[in-house]
Parts: sequence; structure tokens; C-alpha cells
Amino acid sequence: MRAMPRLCAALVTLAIAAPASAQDGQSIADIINEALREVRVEFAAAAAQVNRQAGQAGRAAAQAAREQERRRRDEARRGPEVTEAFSKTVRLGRDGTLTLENVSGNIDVNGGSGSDVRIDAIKRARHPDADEARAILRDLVINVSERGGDVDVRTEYQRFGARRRNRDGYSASVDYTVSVPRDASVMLKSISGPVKVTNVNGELRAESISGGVVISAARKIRTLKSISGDVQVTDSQSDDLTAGSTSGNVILRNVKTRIVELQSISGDLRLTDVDADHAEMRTVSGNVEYTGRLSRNGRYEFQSHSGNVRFIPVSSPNFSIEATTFSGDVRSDFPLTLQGDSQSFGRGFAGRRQNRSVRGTVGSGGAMITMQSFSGNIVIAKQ
Amino acid sequence: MTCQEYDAYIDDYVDEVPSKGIPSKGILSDALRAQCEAHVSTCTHCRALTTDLRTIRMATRSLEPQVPSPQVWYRIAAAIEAEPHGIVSAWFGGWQQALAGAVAVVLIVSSLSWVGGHLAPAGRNRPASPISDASGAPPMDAAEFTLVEQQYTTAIAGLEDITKKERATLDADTAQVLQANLTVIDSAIGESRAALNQEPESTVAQESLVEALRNKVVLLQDTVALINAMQPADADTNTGLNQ
Amino acid sequence: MRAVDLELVQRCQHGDAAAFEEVYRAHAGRLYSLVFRMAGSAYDAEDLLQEIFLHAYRKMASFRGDSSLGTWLYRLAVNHCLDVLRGRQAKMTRVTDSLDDDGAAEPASAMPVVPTAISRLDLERAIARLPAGCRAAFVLHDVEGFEHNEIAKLLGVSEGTSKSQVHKARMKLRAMLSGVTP
Repeated sequence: MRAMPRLCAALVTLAIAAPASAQDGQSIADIINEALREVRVEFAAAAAQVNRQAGQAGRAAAQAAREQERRRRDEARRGPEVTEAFSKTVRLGRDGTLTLENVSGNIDVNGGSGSDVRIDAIKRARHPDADEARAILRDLVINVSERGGDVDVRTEYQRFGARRRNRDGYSASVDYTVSVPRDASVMLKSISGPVKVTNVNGELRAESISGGVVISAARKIRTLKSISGDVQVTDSQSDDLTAGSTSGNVILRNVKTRIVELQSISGDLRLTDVDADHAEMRTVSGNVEYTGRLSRNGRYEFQSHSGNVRFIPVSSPNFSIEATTFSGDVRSDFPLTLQGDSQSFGRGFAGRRQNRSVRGTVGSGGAMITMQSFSGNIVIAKQ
Repeated sequence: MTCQEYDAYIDDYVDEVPSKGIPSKGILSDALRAQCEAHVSTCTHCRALTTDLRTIRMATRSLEPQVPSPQVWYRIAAAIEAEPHGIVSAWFGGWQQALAGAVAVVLIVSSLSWVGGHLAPAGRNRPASPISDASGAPPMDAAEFTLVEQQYTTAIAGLEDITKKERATLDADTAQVLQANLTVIDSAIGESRAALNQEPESTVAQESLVEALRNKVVLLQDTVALINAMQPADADTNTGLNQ
Repeated sequence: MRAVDLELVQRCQHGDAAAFEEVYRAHAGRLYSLVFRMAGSAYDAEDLLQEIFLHAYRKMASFRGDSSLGTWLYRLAVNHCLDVLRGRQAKMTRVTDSLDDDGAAEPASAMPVVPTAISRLDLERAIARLPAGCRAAFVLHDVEGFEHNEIAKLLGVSEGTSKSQVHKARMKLRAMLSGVTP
């Protein structure tokens, strides 16, 4: 890292400068603190920059790839799009699960009354040659099966055996609009294409590789996952919710659950207006933000490597907190005690003032908060 | 010692000397124990209360362990059988589809998140306790930590091997996103290592490094699983996206 | 110990049903002791144990490994029991446990009020009537032998709370076993 040589130089300077300045009445500790702070700030800035660049890389790369895809599709667009509608209604058992697996296209699931699953789909294919396009459509099969009260819906590309290969200048996709009984359990998988679910009370699992996952008014969310898409949840409930994305953001708003775990590598994690007894948010370069109430004996853990970690408890909160960072800054609107790393002090100037840790109790304590970052900043703010 | 003060220590006192003949556990300091003894000998109310709590304590100790009937397991087994999707530990069908050669690597690799996730691996001198304290544990000594780190890097190398060979199976978008995120994790690993070199005792640096390594392993595992999912399916499984 | 845990969970995550049975064999007995006393009856306890292991099966994939398998299962079990109990207590229309409100007076006496020979059945019944929260702390501490710091982690409370909950439970048991309150 480019910061390293500068760091070393700065520390050598320190070694020489410290004893001399001590004569001015400043304590050695003060001088060291000042100098180390500068060093730390430099270190952090350099680190943050590398990570910002790399983190943006994820999104930039995805965006570039999407542009490329668009261009490829445009070429294919020279061909007309042929479509075919598909409709089927199937009965779902009382505790039945709907499973829907798609490769490309939108998935839109809505809970409603009744005990049937109604599937409305539009198959789409493009090819410069219209006949070829229609042939592709024929080979694009929507397979609906029932077993023991469960309903299984699958998009199959008979022609290619398993997966669509995006060559030969064509494209094929299926857009699904499905209505299910409100109490149904639902499991959705998509490779590319957004997944949207509303008003489902049964167990909900949804995954999309490059599409986003958008959930609202769900009652029993279990797992939500995407690789490059965002995961968003609003106005929902759960008992034990896990949501993650590799590069997309994971955002939950107005969600009530006992346990919630959010994960990402470069995406941001945000919990707003959330009621949870136990919350864990972990990312590498993304930012973490929690705004919400705290359960009386709740446990909350927020962690990022280079992103910022913000904790904003609302309405006269009671909690005890430990916030630790290696080279980031810690800022708090609540009175907390800064803990030094006494080991490094003991070693004299050669010790770095790392392991910055802030500890304290606000109100009557109760909830336990753990915040950790490597180089990102930690902020504990009053609403 | 007043009755109110004694009330604060009565539970420890009861736990410590459940009855004559059984050696004290040593929860209270000698001074406090003496004070408790003195109070109890002079206060009839507290003495009576202490006797009662001791009686209950002894009775509780003699409660028999309960055993579930064999039916319970059969019912669980049946329910698991009926579970719609079993354990979905990774994309599209989970690890059941692991490539033949990759299975061994995958197994080694999955075990690492455990070793690394818990900063006090077996072998350290810790009091036997069903609840181990991962957070707040003292930093691992250099030797142990190197071992953990080595295990991670070996597994990562193995996984990278697979992903490099089979990367073409993934579509361009996804491959690029995964690669870019691997870079993010790699810089986190680099920074943590550098920090740890300068500050070997830093718990934060240790945890950062282990967390970053773990993230890398998980991402590579996800990549392998995605590659598996993208492979042409076997003839008999037709075109299922899931097994 | 840990190596065995690791191997088991890996295999479970790979969909190995035999491995999950091993997990059950290794941990069910100990968990059942806790669940039994939390549930208050064998019938309920078996149902609860079933639910707990099913839940554990579903959650194996997201187990992070920052605690041992035993700990993780215990936590799951405790939380599940508390949820069920609190849910149940909320629904009860008849207040069977009048000791819930702290209006119940502690028998103040110069003599011990608890008979020296308590029948196990009386004790089990009394434990079953403890309010959920202090029952959990009591069972974990006095029956299962956990330390307060361990209980604190399991229940997500402070050590002080664990101690006071155990104290509260013991006092309530004393009142129930003294024959003073019905």
C-alpha cells in the first residue's frame, strides 16, 4: 500500500521529535497522540480510497456488463419479439408451498383469497429469423406439477438441455404473474430477472442472481438472497429473517421480527424502523446503518471492514455498547468512555494507538450493542 | 450485616454451602462468607429462609434427568423427509451437486468458517464450559493464528483453482460481479494482514483478518455452487434448475 | 469435541440425514431436560423438542460457527421455549399462577416453612408454575448447572438479571412449597 512508506517515515520522525518537544511542556503522550492521529488519518484515508474504488468496482463492473448485455440485446432486437401467453390455475393444499424457478424474466407473486394458484405467464423470444424465434418459443416450456398439496412451476429450455446460452443472437425469457392463497408458502428462484412478492403470509424464500428481490407485506420471511441485485423489504414480519446480497444493497424498512441477519460484501445494509430482538449486520466494504427501537434485552451486532457503521437508536433508548475500530474514527452523541489500548501505550512511541474502543451504558442499559469496523468510521447518533 | 445486605448474598451463600459436609464452591470471599455465617447465626428470619432455600436447592439437585421417548426422533425424521427444500446452503440445489473433484476441497473449506469464526480453537486451556465466549476472548497467539490463516489460504487456493478452470460456465455479468467482490475482500485481507504485522496483539486486526478470509471462502463457495448450477444438467434430471 | 461438532454440521449442511440423527443423539437428552421443565408436561415437551430440532435443521445452513454446536442448540431451545410459553401465558384466560403478580406475600417466618422432604412431584409441579422468564433462569442454573455468565448469554440478559431471576424463582418456589398458598 502506498501509505506504508509514509507511515514509516512519519514514525521515524516521531521518534526523533518526541523527546525534544517534551521540553515545551507538552507531555510525550500528547505529542504521540497528535502525531499518531495524523498517521492514522492518513492510513484510514488511503485504505478507504482503495476500498471505495474496489467497492465501486463491483457496481461499475455490473453496470458495464449490463450495458454490454443491452447492446447485445439490441442486436438481437433486430429480430422481432414473439410472445405467447400461458395461463393455468392449480389448487394448492392448505399448508402447501408454491415453488417457482425461472431463468430469465420477471417474477411477480401476490397473495390473495381462495385456495388456488393462478399462473399467468408471457413467454418471450427474439431472433432475427421469425420462424427461429417461434421455434425457440415452442422449446420454452412452462412445467407445472403438483405433488402432495405443493405446486411446482419451472421454466425449461428443452432445446439446450439445461441453461440458456446467450449466443446465437437470440433471447428467451418468461415473465410470470402469479396469485397465490394468502397463507401459502412460497419459494422463488431466478437467475436474471427481478423477483417481487406482496401479501404472502406463509414461509417466504426468494433468490435471484442478478435481479433484485422486492418484498412487501409478507408475514414469515425466511431467506432472501441476490448476488448483484438489491434486496428490499417493507412493511413485513418474520420470526427469523436472513437477507443477503453480494454486491447489492439490503434494505429493510418497517419490519418486525425476532431475529434478522443481513449480509453483503460490497453492498450497503440498512435497517430502518425495525423491531428486532436480535439483529446482525455484516459487510466488507458496504455501509451499515441501523435506525430503530431496541428490545429490552436485545442483542445488536453491526460490522463492516471499510464501510461506515451508523447506529441511531430512537426514543429514549437504553443500551450498553462496545464499539471498536482499528483505524477509523468513533463519534457518539451519547456520553461514552473512550478506552485506550493500554498495551500500546506501555510500549512507548512504537505502539500505535490502534484498537480504538468506546464503551458505555446509556439509560438503564439492557440492550447490548456491538459495533466493529476496521477502517470505517463508527457513528452513534441521536435521532 | 443487615437483613437487607444479607439478602443480596443469600443465593451465593446457599449455592456455596448447600449443606454440611459438602465443600464450599468459593463464590464468596472469605470475609463475606464469615459475615453471612455471623448474620445467619443471629437472625432467625434469615436463618429460616436460608434453610428453606437450601432444602429447595438439594431437592432440585436430586431431580432426575428426563429422557425423550424414541418416537420423537422418528417424528423428526419424517418431518425432515417432508421438508420441501431441505437445507439450502448455497444456490440452486446446494452442495449435493458439488463437482466430483471439488467435494474434498469443499469439505475442507466448509470446516474453516468454524475454526476461524471461533477465535479460540480447541487445544487452548479453557475451563470446560458448554458456553464458550467468542467475543471478548483474548487474541490468539501467533502460532495458533498462523495455523488458522494457513488453513484458510489453502482452502481458498483450492477453490480458486476450481473457479478459474470453470469460470467460463458463468455468464459475463455474474462472473464480473463475483470477481469485483473478490477484489474487495482481497484488499480487506491485505489491510488486515498489514495491520496485524504492525500490531500482532490487536484483537480487532485479528478478527478483521479472519472475517475477511471467511468472507472470501463463502464467496468462493457461492461461486462454485453457481458454476455447478450452470452446468448442463444430467440427462435424467432434465432441465431442472434445482437438482 | 469441537472437531466432532464441525464434521457433523458440515455433513448436515450437505444434506446428510444420518448426520443430523447423530446431532440429535448427541444433544437431545440434555436439551430435553431443559425443555421438559420449561414445558411443564412430557406431552408438550416432546412436541417442543421436535419443533426445536426441526428449526435447527432448517437453520443449519446459516449457522456461523461463532459458538459451539451445543451452545447454539441450547440458545435455539431456550428461545423457542420462551416464545411458546409467553405466547401461551398471554392467551391464558384463567390466571392459574397467582404468584405472577408480585402481590403474593413472602411467608415471613422465624421457622423454615418448606418441609425437609419435598416430593419430586411437588417440586416438578411447582417449577411448572413458575413464570416463563424466571423459570428459564432457574432451570438453567439450579437444574442444569450453568453459571450466571453463561445464562446471561443464553437468555440475552445481564448477569445481574440472571441472578435476580434465579432468586425470584427460588422465592416463589418456597412460597408454593410451603403449603401457605394453594
